[in-house]
Amino acid sequence: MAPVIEIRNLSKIYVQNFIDVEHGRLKIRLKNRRTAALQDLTLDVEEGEIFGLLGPNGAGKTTTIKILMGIHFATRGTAKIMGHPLGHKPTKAKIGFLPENPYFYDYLTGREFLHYYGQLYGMERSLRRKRTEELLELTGIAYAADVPLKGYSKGMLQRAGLAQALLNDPKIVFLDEPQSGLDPLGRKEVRDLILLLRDQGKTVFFSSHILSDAELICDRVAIVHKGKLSSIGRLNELLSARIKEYEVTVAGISSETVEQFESQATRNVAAGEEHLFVFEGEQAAQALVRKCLAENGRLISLAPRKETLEEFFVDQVRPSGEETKAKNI
Amino acid sequence: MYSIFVIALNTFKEAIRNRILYVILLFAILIIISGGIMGDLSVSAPEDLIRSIGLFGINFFSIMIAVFIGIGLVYNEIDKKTIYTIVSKPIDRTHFILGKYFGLLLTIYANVIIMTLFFLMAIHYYSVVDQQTMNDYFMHLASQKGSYTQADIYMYYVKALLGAIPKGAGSFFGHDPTEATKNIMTVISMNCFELAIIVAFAILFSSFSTPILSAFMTIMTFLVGRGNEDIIRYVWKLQDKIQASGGADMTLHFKAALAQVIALIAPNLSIFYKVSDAIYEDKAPIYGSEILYGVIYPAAVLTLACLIFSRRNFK
Ligand SMILES: Nc1ncnc2c1ncn2[C@@H]1O[C@H](COP(=O)(O)OP(=O)(O)O)[C@@H](O)[C@H]1O
Ligand SMILES: [Mg+2]
Repeated sequence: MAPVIEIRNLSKIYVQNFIDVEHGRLKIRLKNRRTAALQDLTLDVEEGEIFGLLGPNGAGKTTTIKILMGIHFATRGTAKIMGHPLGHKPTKAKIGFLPENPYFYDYLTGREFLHYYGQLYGMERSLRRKRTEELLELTGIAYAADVPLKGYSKGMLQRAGLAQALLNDPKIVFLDEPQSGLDPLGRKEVRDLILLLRDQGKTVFFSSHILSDAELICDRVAIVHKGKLSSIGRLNELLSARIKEYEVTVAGISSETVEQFESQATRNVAAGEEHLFVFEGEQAAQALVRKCLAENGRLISLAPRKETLEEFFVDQVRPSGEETKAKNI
Repeated sequence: MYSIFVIALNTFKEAIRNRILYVILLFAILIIISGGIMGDLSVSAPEDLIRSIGLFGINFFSIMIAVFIGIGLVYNEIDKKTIYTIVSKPIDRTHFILGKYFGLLLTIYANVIIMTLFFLMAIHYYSVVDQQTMNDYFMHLASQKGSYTQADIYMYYVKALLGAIPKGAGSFFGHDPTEATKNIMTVISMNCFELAIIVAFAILFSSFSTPILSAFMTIMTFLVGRGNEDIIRYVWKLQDKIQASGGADMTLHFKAALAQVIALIAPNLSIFYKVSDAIYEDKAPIYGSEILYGVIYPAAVLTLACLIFSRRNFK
């Protein structure tokens, strides 16, 4: 099956003119400032998956989503959504979008806001009413439906933003940092909501810099750093190949053996007659286990510890590791 | 088309929930109905003063609304990033600009209607509390009843006020025996085209620059537009000078060319503000060619706004 999102060599260079208006102020520089926010990003997203676009701040995640949403135009490269080039209106009718740190019309109440957006989707009044009430309920802001958005907290705006993104029962949902601004409970609710969307057969494309959240829900992730793709794949593929270390806990072994393995271990801790060794290599761990059994000691535990997404990520984006790491596509 | 309508309606909602609108409207009504008070002071033709102050007030405050509400309409959506979710919806960017335009125009026309109603009521009121009319009335009353009290005078004012309301509304819908208020309606209607042009400029400037800059440019456009005919006269004068001097002075040529270009690009707005028609004409004329101009010119400005807006990246 064809991927629902195809991104090919997408690049974006922001040009800030030497004379420019920023935040309502005139700004004059010595020359134009160019920022290569995105460089040759190529990736596919399959139907029905939860795809996480991960990367540190300034990596180019928001830029990617803005281009896909038609807010910015790419400098180079192309992208297709459901087989259609960007800007195709019938396609836009089938997607939902939550921007980063959303902000909406002060002067509308939550309910009016959703009705307005429903109208922009061309939804019939009865359908609009039904969806509005459902989503106010689902996102947990029904209690504030008649309060102007001016009075919404950051978290409530985020929820209103989620509600508007789902108004048209979209096939694909684009969420830019959906969990930012939320408390731990709110983050869990968003996670559950994303899983619910997947269960409904929707494709979810979201960006995040909070890895622990992403790790729990993503089918596949792409890691971007400084505008470039540094790796992409299924979470278990990216991480399982890399057992980070082995923890071996033994008891009742000779002091020579302890000394022998101390030098090989990255860490070791002794508590009474129990000894904990942490090895990087599998060989050393196995050797210790054999030795322990040969000496009639007790093997208390042997635990291979997988790399967490966070460690993998840090490894990927560490300045020195940048060039040496082969692209893992 | 439907999306233009939806955006226009929401823009209207935004405008009428903006406190500035009410401040401007309050001032406008105060000025518009103040004509008669000043009319008392002037020696000759108080009703002319009432008319010119009223027409000036309606025009001036409509322009104020266009400037102070119009300039932020597009800019704020970009600044506050509400445009992000709008752009991701299945609508054209062009629809957004047109929706904003018609929403603002709707707001302004609604305000023009309110101001006009107050104006017409004021005219009827002042025509009844006019010195001459009152003298005649109370002379008549005195000759009938022998005398009249202060209470009769108060009653007279109250009746004048209450009578002015239906009369004003009647005039608005064209039920008026006199041509006088019909002329006013004609002049105000023609002035609506000027507003259509100014609003188009406010939206155009707002689509690429900051509110303060937009306000400045919109007001400049208005002033140049009103003075367009003077600029043309200035060009003629320069041309006479050039002829007289034998055409040797290049700065004169340059000045004439520059003025000519400005006169050509800037709208000609004075054709839509014919206060004298409402005062001195028996029947204010409706100008066909000017209506055409009043439709085509804003359409051109809006096309430019749409072109700019469709291509721009939002911060
Ligand atoms: N409108 C803009 N003008 C200039 N530079 C920008 C603009 N938006 C983003 N950038 C720059 O592009 C880079 C990528 O930003 P962004 O896509 O927002 O990153 P992320 O969402 O991953 O944090 C950053 O270096 C940022 O400063
Ligand atoms: Mg971002």
